[in-house]
Amino acid sequence: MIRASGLTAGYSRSAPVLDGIDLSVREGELLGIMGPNGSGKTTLLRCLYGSIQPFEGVVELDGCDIGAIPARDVARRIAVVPQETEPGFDFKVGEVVTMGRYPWMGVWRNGRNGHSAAVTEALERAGILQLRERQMSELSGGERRLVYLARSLAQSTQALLLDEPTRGLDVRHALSIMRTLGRLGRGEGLAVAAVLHDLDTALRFCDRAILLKEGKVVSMGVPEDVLSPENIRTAFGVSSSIHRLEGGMHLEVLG
Amino acid sequence: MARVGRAIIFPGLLLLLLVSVALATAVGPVNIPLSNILKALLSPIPFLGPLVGEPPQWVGTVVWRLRLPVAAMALFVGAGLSVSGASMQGLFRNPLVDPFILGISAGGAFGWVVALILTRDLEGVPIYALRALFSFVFSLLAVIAAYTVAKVGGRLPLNNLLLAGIAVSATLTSVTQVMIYMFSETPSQLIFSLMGSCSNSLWEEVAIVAPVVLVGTVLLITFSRDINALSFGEEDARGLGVNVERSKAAVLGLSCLVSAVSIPFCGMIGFVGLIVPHAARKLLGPDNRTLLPASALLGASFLVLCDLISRSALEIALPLGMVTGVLGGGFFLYLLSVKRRVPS
Repeated sequence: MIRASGLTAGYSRSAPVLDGIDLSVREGELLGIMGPNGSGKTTLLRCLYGSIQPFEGVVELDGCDIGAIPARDVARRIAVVPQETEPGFDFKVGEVVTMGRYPWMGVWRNGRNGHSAAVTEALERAGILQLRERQMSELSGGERRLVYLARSLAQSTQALLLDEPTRGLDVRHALSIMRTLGRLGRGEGLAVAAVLHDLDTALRFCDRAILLKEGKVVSMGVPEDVLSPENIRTAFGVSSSIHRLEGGMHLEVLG
Repeated sequence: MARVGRAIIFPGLLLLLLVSVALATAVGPVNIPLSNILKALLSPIPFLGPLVGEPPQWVGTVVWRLRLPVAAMALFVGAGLSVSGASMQGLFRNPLVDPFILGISAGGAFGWVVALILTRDLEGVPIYALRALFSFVFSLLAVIAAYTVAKVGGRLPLNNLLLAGIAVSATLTSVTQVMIYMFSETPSQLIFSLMGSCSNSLWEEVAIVAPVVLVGTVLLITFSRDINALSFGEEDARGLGVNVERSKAAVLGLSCLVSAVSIPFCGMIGFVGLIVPHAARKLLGPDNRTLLPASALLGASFLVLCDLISRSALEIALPLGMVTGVLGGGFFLYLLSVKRRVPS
């Protein structure tokens, strides 16, 4: 669905953050993007939805250069959940999720086009229908993250890109978000890509993983192979081991 | 305060506007009874006119020639300043921004004085419109200057924007005053008219301000969903499908237009664009789809009433800008002193 090839990108041409990345985000899977701080994960994500133009290489959305597609049409196919976003004003949850309908709305007469039903459905899928009338300022960090997830679901897209969706969340909320993402990918056939910091989470929930270091791909493929002790030593400089336990695999960082 | 439903708010705001205009028409050096006001307003209408009867002739003159143009001017100027303030607050994600603080007013005044000096011996509607155009262009330049100075890399730190706006305002205001003293034959009169007043408004002037404010406001409302999305920052708005650069330019340009158009006719009327959107947000919440029209209606009533206060509170008529300044300045201090939930 989204394919990047030969991607060299960043914020200054002399010191690109990404260097020759090839990657595809496919429908029906959850892709984990991992790497140390400053390895280019967020920059890669921003390239994938056309927010920054690469210096070299191309990002294709369904076979078309994403740079040539208007922002509105991109937003009908790819939804983004940014790392941290703070509204300038205290909106209601329902109002924030309604903004996810932006790419589908005209200027006038939006009352009768099923937007309200789409918003309700998105709130349900994110499991926060009961928060609809609440103010954003009243919510916990985890609930707010779910609101942004619901907003992206309201966009009715085929692809979902998330920047550290579990950052700052307690284990229960983090688990709930990861299960939801897995369900959206494998269950509902969306193309989901998430920047993840927690390697164990990535190992347990992702279908595919990509490990970056200094803007280059260290490894890409099945999480078990990508997160091998050798690769993790290369990327992070720490030793680790993978255990097979009841209920799946676990990655332990040894130090 | 709890948010109240739109079903009550919008009819309420319309009613408030009607009452404000009726009061502004009735109260003055000579108070006119409401029955005569109604007669004066309705008698020119075919079919309805003969039913209500004619008012005394002087009432018709006072209402139509003196008080209504002033009320209409205050109405449109108040609506323009408020909708401009609300849009800019959304665009810059900050409730402390208004046309005054960002340098629009100072830029507009500068442009107007330049135009006035260049066309000092000329009169007439095209000349007024030309001066309004200068006012608009320079207000836009002032905001762009403040914006450019404040921007660091790809980010727009808010403190930078406010400081840059204040610096641009202060500089332009001083240069404007220097120009007035050097080139104007009636400097004190000019300074006085810059202090903000609708009191000598003519229908010809309303005819320039009204369409600009009406069209500008409607166009800004068409961008209300873009402003909503931009409340989460530019990166986020882009992810939602907003054409960020186009929307920003349009909202900024239209905000300048609807507020700067008033400066050649009414001078610098401060704080309306700050406090009215605040009050509207308290009533309806921050959703710009309802906030912008509500701000326009509330701002219209507010300035009509302020104008009424400015000419009837004391023996002498105060400049309108002084009244809004005293009310708005106090409100601003209150805002800064009260802990709010609005995230910085």
